[in-house]
This record gives sequence, structure tokens and C-alpha cells, in this order.
Amino acid sequence: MSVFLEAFSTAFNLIVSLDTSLLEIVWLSIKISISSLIIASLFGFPIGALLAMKSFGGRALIITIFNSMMGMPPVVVGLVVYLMVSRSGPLGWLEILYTPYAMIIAQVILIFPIIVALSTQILEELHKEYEDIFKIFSVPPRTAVITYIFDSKDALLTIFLAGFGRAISEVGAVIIVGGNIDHATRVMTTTIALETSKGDLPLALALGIILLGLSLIVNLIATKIKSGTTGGING
Amino acid sequence: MANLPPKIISVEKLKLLGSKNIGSILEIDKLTLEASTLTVVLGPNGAGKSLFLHLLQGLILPTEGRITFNNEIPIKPTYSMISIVTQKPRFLRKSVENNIKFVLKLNNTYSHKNLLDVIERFELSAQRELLANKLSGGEKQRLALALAICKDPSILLLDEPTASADPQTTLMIEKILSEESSLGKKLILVTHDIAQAKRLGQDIIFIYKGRIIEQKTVTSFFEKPEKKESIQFLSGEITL
Repeated sequence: MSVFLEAFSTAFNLIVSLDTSLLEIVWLSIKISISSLIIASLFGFPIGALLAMKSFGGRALIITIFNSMMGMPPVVVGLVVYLMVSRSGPLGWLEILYTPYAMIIAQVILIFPIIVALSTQILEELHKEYEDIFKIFSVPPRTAVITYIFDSKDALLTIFLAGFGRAISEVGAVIIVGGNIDHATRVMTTTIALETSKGDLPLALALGIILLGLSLIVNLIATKIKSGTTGGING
Repeated sequence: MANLPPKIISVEKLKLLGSKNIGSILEIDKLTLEASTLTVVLGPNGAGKSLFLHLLQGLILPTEGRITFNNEIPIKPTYSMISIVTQKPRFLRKSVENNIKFVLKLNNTYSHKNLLDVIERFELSAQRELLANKLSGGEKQRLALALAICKDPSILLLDEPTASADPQTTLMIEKILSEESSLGKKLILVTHDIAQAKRLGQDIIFIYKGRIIEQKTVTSFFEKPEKKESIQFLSGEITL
């Protein structure tokens, strides 16, 4: 019990003292996770929409592959990215191993299937409901796209959060391709792993508490967004 | 302001094949419908009445043949002058008010006054804030009709629009249909309610096993049905 109390005390002290090392780690974690999420979403949502609304050969197979990829082990992804960006790998010339860029690539690979697979499911269901309505009322494509996004915004936001959750809490891949280098690639999860192995449990727990707090804040913001969006033709 | 009504709806050599080689599920060699009348489509369950309306609206495409409006093959802009109330209407995941607002805005006829007029005309004031998909059967049919009419179509297709309605709602819907018909719109109504067909219809199409068996005026159809299937249907002896 004292370990937990010490952890809370340490976390409180670290936060109120605005410890620069801690802020650096937290900020890097957020930057990498958000960057990965934005990149994965930019490609993932349109591909999800395409799979949901268009019929073509091999569609079912592609969906099955994306569904399976949702459970990819992060260490395997980390290993593959490591092999790709290491000096002797095909992308070795980029020289991004042990940099945040490699960590972002690994996280994008982990998040992308989640966004594609879940948005396909959500938009496919909505498309079945709306297809005839849009035909009957001759809804222009632009309005249709806006309506699809607007009317599935809560679900899409949840997918976004799932992607963020996966990214911010991921450790296996980023530790392999990032190397957990202090002041360079050290993020919250890799620090927790390191401090635990060193036996500094209060600091590890403190970081865990901050990680949970961060997730809570992101979810609260999302809830706020969900409850306050109106306007346009979708009124 | 409604689009100019078409002079004629014409169907030629229309064929819709079913899946798995079951043959044609709807086959109409030739059919001509006058504009500005209320045509009632009768027939037993599964005869192809709803398919016929879905083909007219363009929700499904025929395997062969063609449908023309004013001798023109419908393309997307032409479909904009047709509207349909389906048997199981679907709505956007929005409130009643926002569904109506959506269609009015699409039709460039949105104003707060128009919105209130529609809500009042279809007696949806108490439901305006409710999610459209949570309405009762009768309320859904009122809303579906409201949306179809908000599109201001020249041709209004109605697939059993009073099937889930209580007598009061049925009366209200029939009154609105009569008003729309009197505005010069072409109404095609599928119903199983013979009394309703007599009350509202001007001409009748009788469909049986995917074929039009008889096409007549209401009086003529009910007083002197010619075909064996029509006679059996009216006497309640026929099923598909």
C-alpha cells in the first residue's frame, strides 16, 4: 500500500514541480501518438469509407486482412520496422532508426488497421441505412459525404480514441525502433518499462498514473466534442 | 413550386430477373400511365407491387426494358421529380425536425416557417425533437410522407403508406394524398385496403405473379373485373 501512496506522492510532486524531464517525456509521447494518429487517420478513414461503400473483387478478403491486423503484436511490428529502417534495411538510407520518426512509422502500422477495420464496420452499417435515402432525395455526393461523417461522428471519434489509446499505451514496437534514448526517444511507456526494471517502482507508477490521467483528459475532451456539435445542412 | 408534371409514364418490355435462375420476378410488356391521376396498384403479397415502385424510383434497375417519363429515359435529374414512401421507411439518424430540415435544405425551400408548416401539416409537433428511427409505425409513415412531399415531386410513389396507421392517421394521410393529387401530381399507391383503393383511386393496375393482369378505371375494375385472378383476388380467394 505504501508503494501506491509513494507513487501518488511522487506523481503529484513531479506534476506540480513541472519537472522538465517528465514534461519532455510526456510531450514526446503525445507528439508521437498524435502524429501517428493523424497519419493513420488520413489514410485509414478514406480507405474504410471506400471498403464500406464500394463493391469490388477481393473486398471481403481485404476486410478480413485488416480485421486480422488489428491484433498484430507490437513487438513483431517493431521488429519489422527495425529491419526496414536499420542501416542494412531497404529504408536504411533514411537514417531514422532510434528517432521519433521510426517510432511514428511503427505506431502508424499498428493504428492504421484499427482505423480501417472499425470505420469500415461503422460506415458500412450507415451506408446500408442511407443508400436508398440518398438516392430518393438525390443527395449530391458532397452532402452525402458530410452527412456520413456528421451522423457517424460519435463512432468515428470513438475509433479515433481507440487509435490514440493504442498509440499512447504501446511499448513493444517503440522500444525496439526508438531505443528508449534519454532526451531523444524516451516516452512514457518505455520509461515505465525502464524504471520498473531498475526497481524504481514509485516513479514507474507515477508515470502510469499520468498516462491514465492523460487518457482520461482525452476522453473528457471527446465527450465534450460529442455533446456539442450541430449546424449546417445536418443541423 | 412543383416541377412540371410529366405527360406520361411509359414502361416497355421491362424485365427484372431474380437471383439464382428463378426467372423473371417482374415482367411488364407495355404500360402507359396518364399523368395527374391517382393510380392504385393492387395484387396479392409478393406479386411484385413494391418492386414496380422501386423500379420507377430507380432504386433498382431493370434487367431489360425501359421506363420513360415524358418519353425520356430517366437520368439522375429526372429522378429528382419522383419521390417514394417505402413500406419500411428509413430516416437519417437525426430528430424528426432535422430530417425535415435536411430535405427542405436539399430542395432549397428551407425556412423556419416552412419547417413549422410541414410539422403542423403532418401533426408531428409532439415528435419533432424525437429521433426519427424511434417513432412508432404510424408516426414513421407520417414522417416518410412528409419528407417525400417536401421534395416537391411531380410523381409520388406510395407503398402501403397507411399499413401501420390507426384510423385517424389513415384519414389524415388520405386527406393529404387527395390534396397532393388535386395539385396535379401523379400518385401511384400500393395498398391492400380495397376500401381505400375505391376512395382514392382513379385507375387500377392489378399485378399477379410479376405480371400486370388488368389495368382499368376504378369503377370498371371493381364493378366488372375481367380476369379470373382479379375476380378471385377481390373475393379473397387468391394468394400467391
